[in-house]
Amino acid sequence: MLTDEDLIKGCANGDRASQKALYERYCRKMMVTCLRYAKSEHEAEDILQEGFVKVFSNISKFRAESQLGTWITRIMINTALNKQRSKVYMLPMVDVKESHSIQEEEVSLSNFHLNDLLEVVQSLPDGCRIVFNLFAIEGYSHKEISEMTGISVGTSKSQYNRAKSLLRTKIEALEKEKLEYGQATI
Amino acid sequence: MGRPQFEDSWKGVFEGAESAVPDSVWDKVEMDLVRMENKTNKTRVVFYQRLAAMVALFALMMASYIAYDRTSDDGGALQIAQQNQSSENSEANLNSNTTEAKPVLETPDTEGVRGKNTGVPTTRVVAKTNSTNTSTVGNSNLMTAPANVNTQKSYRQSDLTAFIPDWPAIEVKLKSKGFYEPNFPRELPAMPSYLMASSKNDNANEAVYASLGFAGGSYNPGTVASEPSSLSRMASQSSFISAQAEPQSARATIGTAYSIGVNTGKQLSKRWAVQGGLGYMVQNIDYTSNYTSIAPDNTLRAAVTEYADTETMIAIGPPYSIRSINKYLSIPVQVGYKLVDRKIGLQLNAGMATDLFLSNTLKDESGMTESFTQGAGKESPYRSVNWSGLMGLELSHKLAERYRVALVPGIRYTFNSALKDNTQVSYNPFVLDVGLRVKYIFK
Repeated sequence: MLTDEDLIKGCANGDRASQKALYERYCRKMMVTCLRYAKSEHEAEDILQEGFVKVFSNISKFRAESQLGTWITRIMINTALNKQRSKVYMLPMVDVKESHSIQEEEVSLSNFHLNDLLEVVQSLPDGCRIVFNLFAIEGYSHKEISEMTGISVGTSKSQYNRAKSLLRTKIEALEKEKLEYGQATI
Repeated sequence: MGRPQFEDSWKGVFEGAESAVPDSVWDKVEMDLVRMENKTNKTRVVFYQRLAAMVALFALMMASYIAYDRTSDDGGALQIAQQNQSSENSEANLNSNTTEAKPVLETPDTEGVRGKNTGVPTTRVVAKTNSTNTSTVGNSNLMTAPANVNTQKSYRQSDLTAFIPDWPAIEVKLKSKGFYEPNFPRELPAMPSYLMASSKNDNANEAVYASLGFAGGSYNPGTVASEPSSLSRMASQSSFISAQAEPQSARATIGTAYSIGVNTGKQLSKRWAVQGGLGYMVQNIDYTSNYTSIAPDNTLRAAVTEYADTETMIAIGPPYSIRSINKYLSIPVQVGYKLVDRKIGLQLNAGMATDLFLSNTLKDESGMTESFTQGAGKESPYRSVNWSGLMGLELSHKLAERYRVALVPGIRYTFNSALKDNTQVSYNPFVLDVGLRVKYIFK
């Protein structure tokens, strides 16, 4: 089995077999990342396609300071943000005043299927979804998010709180639905 | 659930998670990569074309400079001679004790150049002092007067005949009226041959000629304008097509063209010539396509969207490379203007060509699918007759009495679309090529 280094070398030389091997190694993981940022599966495929083209175009610039998977994830996120940027600007995010009302109840996500959770995340409004992904999943600070997206730190915080509130509501609804159909894990 | 718990639980859900990816995504990635590679290749081709143009321009400028430089040098010599002539009286007045006088004698010719020069003394004396180097004309072969010649004395022609050697009279004509016309017997090589007007045209006998040549260069179909709906509609109707995939094909920006042909020409006047002939032309360009057409015998044929037949069933598959090969029979007619007509010739050609379409072949370079060839005719999407504009230069060199070899850079632009109007696709090919031609001169 070829190592990442071998694949990087092959891709840098434009070897199509290496490109395909690298794609096959990472595409499924990256698809999850793209699905989190996209509104639909079709949009996620577009992000994945564009992201991998960027990966192959810039692979000679990869300096192995981080893992290849992390580097590709970052490219996918940037590609997704570029795709979403217009939407973010079109729908300027305003501070949400409901942050104080978030209930800190424990909801176990392990009871849910990945696709259900992805659907819940995709159902968030664009601004909330981006901030939620960047803050909760990728681990960026609100300051970094404000620099990446061009929104203020306060807006990022309030959007995140709103995302949390919406997610809690949707998860609760999903849980209730599952209970009704007897699908909940006991 | 605390804030860190909330984030951790969500992070945990997606960490290491995987989701299925449709195969079509890789196909699209591959298509994009092929497009990018083509773009890179195009950039390289453009770079090398520009480099070649710059080298040619530089060579031309250097040649011009050298020619100018040589002209200036001779012009300078002539200017000195002119100055000598205008200052001959003052020179003659130099002290005879310190002066060695050099009378430069005029040809005892009373016709031709001299005939126009009645007011000018027939004798020129160039003084060469020891202390002041006034000027010199010619070289040491000039006749030298005796040391005690009184330079203040005006020579009569009869006195000078003694100094005149038995040289043949040389009639010197200058091409440009603005140049100084020397009225003294010129001692070669005082003037380069190219400044002299030749009474005989070296190439006057190239009245009729025939040539055989070949050319190679780049082929650009230009911007392809198409109606996008036809193939999508066809795809949606076809049961062979997956609902998510669409037939796509990407064309390389630049292809290659080569041609071979015979020409015959006739010189109309000293500068003008007309030439025509017959040529066989091939224009290649590469495509990447993700679908094939299905022939009636169920074989898969190479297909691209630009020339798609909407009646044909198609099948989507992984991208593959196709070469589109157009073949034409060309009948060019050109008028040429000779900019330089010597041993090295330069001729500017312009004209029209009637290009008769022979065939188009879509060839799968991997050999996985059948090649698909379409000829001319009523059913063909290609126009049978095309009209092209031609323009080019012909830099030639005479090798022997009856042969000339020529380098012929040129452009060809087809005025009409190569495809018929009813195909809903149009493009106008543009060819930039360089040819090599061997001419045989009949008379």
